[in-house]
Amino acid sequence: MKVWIKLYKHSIIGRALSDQTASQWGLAVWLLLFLGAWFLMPLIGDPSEFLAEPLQSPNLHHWFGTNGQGQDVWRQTVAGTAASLGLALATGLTMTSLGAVIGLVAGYSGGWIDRVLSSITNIALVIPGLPLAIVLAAFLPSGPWTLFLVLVITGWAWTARVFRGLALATRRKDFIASAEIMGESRLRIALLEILPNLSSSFASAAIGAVIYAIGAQVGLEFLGLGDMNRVSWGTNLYWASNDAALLTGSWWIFIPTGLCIALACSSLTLVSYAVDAVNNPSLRADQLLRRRLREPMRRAIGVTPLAKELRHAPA
Amino acid sequence: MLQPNLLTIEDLSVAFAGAGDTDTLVLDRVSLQLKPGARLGLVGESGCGKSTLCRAIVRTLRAPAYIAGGEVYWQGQSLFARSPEALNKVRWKEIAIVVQSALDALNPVLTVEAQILDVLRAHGRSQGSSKRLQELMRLVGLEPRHLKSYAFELSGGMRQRVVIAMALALEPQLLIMDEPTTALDVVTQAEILGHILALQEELGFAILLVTHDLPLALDFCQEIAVMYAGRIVEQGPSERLVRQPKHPYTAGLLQCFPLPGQKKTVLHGVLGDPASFAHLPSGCPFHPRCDRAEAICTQERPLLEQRGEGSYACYRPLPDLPQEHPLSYGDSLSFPTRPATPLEEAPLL
Repeated sequence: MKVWIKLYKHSIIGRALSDQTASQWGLAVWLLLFLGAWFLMPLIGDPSEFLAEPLQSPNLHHWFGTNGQGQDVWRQTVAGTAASLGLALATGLTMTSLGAVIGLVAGYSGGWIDRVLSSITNIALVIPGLPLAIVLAAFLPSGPWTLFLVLVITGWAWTARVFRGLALATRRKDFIASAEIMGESRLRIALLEILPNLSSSFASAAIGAVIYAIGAQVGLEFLGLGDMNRVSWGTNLYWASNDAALLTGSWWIFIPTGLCIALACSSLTLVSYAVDAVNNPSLRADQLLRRRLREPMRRAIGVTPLAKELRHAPA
Repeated sequence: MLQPNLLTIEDLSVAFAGAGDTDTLVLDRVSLQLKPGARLGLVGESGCGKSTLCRAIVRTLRAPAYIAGGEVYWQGQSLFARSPEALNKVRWKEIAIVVQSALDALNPVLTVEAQILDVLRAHGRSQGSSKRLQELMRLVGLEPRHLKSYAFELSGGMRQRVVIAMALALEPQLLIMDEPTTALDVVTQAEILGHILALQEELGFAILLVTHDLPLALDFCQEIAVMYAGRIVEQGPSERLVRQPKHPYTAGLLQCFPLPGQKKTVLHGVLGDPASFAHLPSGCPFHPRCDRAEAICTQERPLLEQRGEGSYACYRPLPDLPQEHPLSYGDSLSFPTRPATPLEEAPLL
């Protein structure tokens, strides 16, 4: 255990999260949702099983009640969390990686490669994402892989745009020039010299992409554009609305799933604060001082605080 | 003649907040006085707290710095008692700072004109500004046509002049210059400082010059304060300091460069590394590098005391040197004090 704690503390994540309490909580909540759902999946039994009277409010046999079809809401919430978070994670990471590679290649190579890739990126950017996603999802065979593909196709461009700019800015730095003079190959420079410098930007882009993937996925499925036999957050909400959960006042059908979506998204947002501090280390210095201030909210911008404004002065 | 002080710094301390409340004291009870129209030089190695002091005066230090103690009086009134709005009125209008890297101080996407105009407008002096802008450019020896230039179109020396023009735009009573000429070659340096001297004679503002270049400060300033590890270790008139350095650190700094007219000697410099704020030596922070250190220097911290002409903080000061010592610096170096005539319009090829 001690070894693991030490390993965590020295890892990139551990260092990024040290003294960022909110982000630590965010990561803990997210991991609890994700790992907890996957851990419980084999234990709860088939979530689609029709096993009781429909529309029972929460009771001892069915902790979260049953839905309009007589399925157990607890089982559906767990299975939905596992399916949706897994898909969102895969989608978000793929989306960001694709965008990052395209942006990096475009920004670093320049010339006709940049022109071609930038044009494609710009075209992808001006096509409105959700309508395209709806059209694609409606025409392709429904299922999780369709959702994955649709979201990646509609979501990579923004990251590519950002990374192209970052690559352009990094490329002009002297250490890239020295790597070029040393005769390193362009691919090596792009992947080993530029990319590590953008790792924290990648992390914040990936977090944003996962949040987007959760929202878009749930949205598409809620509209009925997914595989409706699969259990996920989106289909849970779709069936809840289909079975008129609001009309019958069966709040227990949609509250658990809705709460999970809100928790997953907000916990990721908290994690991104730590990534911001890695991106911009002076934020950390700022936090450090703000925590010591007596009235942190009334702090004047651009005025160095005096000792009497701190909670306790040093010895 | 007893003149009231323009700026009085009393026991000013600055600390950087650290994780787990382990703060680092980077400026330790520094006191300075500046009379109207005086020129004070602040000298020391890199990282000894010179820039921190400059920024602490007007409270522009960024987090995690905070002012741990002391007071700054501006024209007899405390600056630290002012509200942020009232402090903003003093900043730039009365106390202007020429920052360390003029190269980064200019906005790359605005013209010189727009940036100086910004200063005038922010303090409500935009009336008749176009005339004033041209006047400012001439004041620092630049052609008025450079008002339309962007920062990247100017050379390092020109950019420095622009920043100085900006600092002088509101006719401040104190000009703090933080390493204003460090990035420039000696010729440009002499030219710019000569300009500033001429301007000072004309406008009568006081100057606080921060530099690591002791000969420059000795030549430019009437009084010098030598800083080491966040403390002032010696202070006095330039002529006394160059002839009779009392603190071994000052003497060491003086031995870092040859003096004009000096016979061939070996330059010693100051051996060892600058003290680290995280592991400040006990007693006198300079003792590990000092060849005159004794037992008391390692145990007790010497205090800055008024002794003769100026003050110094040392238990083992250097003895007085005879008057005709080769270290005599005298008037062998001087800046051209006449304002440079504006360059004539270069013919276009």
